Amino acid sequence: MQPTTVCNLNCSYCYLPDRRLIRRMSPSVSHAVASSIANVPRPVRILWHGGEPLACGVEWMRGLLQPFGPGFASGRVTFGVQTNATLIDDDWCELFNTFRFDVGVSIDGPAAHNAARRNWAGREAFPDVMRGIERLKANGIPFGVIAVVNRNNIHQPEEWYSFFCELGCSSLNVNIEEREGLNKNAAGLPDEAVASFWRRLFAVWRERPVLRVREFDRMLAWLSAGPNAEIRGPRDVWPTVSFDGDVIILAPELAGADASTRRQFVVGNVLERALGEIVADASTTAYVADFWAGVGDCREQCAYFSYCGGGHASNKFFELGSTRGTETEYCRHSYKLVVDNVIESLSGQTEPQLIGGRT
Amino acid sequence: MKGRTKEQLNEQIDAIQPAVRDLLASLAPEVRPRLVHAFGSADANGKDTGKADWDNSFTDTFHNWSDKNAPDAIYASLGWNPAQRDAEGKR
Repeated sequence: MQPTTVCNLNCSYCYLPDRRLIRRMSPSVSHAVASSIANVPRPVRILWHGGEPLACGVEWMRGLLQPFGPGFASGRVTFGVQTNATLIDDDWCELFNTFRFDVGVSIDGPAAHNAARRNWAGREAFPDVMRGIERLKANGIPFGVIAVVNRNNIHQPEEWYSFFCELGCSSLNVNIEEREGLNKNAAGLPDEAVASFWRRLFAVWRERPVLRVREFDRMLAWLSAGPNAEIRGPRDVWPTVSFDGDVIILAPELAGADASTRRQFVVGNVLERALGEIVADASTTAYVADFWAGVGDCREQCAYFSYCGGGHASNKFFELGSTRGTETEYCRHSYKLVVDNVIESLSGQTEPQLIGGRT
Repeated sequence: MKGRTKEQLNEQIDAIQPAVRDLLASLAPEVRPRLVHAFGSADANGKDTGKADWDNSFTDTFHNWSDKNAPDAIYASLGWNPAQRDAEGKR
């Protein structure tokens, strides 16, 4: 759920065109979502993201959470938030503790590595991020990290990893900078640099495995299943509810496309229909059907399918012009080159591997 | 495009199983991978764009909602047999 479109930062790689627009989710939208899931007999996790979700204000967020009260009280509804941490204060921490939020912080490494994350005046966000993290720690709130690997940090994985080991985070999630949305025309990162990054990061993590690194966690779980391990379940459809109640599935990035592009991805609005009905009927929508067809092509064509499961709709759309496509830069950087370099490293190879890279 | 065949990849995976086991055994419990073959973790650490791992619960919720409508072909294309889920109680 996206409580606001606005972000107080202006990161250089951001894909969101509307991040200067101050639009907040109406309580009627969260009421509609809460009603939609009220009778779902399974746990539901709601991840608040944006924009910068905390930019909606703590009292506004409290109002958005109110309709989920019964579900939260019963333990069936849980919450997470992905934040740039610059707005975290003790009031937010009190809310996080009250509603037992799982908190994810976006930070790209030490100050020099974090240089792409700046406010609208161009000032580096790092001091404010660290101040927010200190408030989390002071209030006993565990947090994970999502870090974007970009040209500022890709060549120093050892220093980068060491920073996160000392930061006090519970997990590290590595996102290689992607070309999509407003950032779709960026120069991108060379496959060679990405391969080297994964190779060196895996080496330094093996030397000091004190953090759960999402990519290695996933990779080792997959490898431990042995040859012919296959994805067993369908991909998550990622229902995203935007500030105005519009629902987009498959990739939240599609909700951040410019207005004219975004229209084709909206499969309904929670103010008009129940979320479950919208999601259930969405499989016949053109871009969704295209995506599943493309996943089928991936399955047929790609040796790495059993690890990645068919890629992501937003990368296919922004890189290839259609959700029907197959291989993307994202596939190579975030899946194939991880596979190559972890497997080759465990095989005793010492050089970065580009087997799944671009020729 | 360069690349491996599925057979080559499987051969390599087979060959490194001892190294994988050794590595897993060396890890502290708090960083040891959850040894389930699922594409999602229990973290809330989806990246800002939400592309990262979520709890699997929402996936389950979706399928609970949509089982009656979703074309079997979608699941079949992903190698998932709905009957398997029923047998396991959860995918």
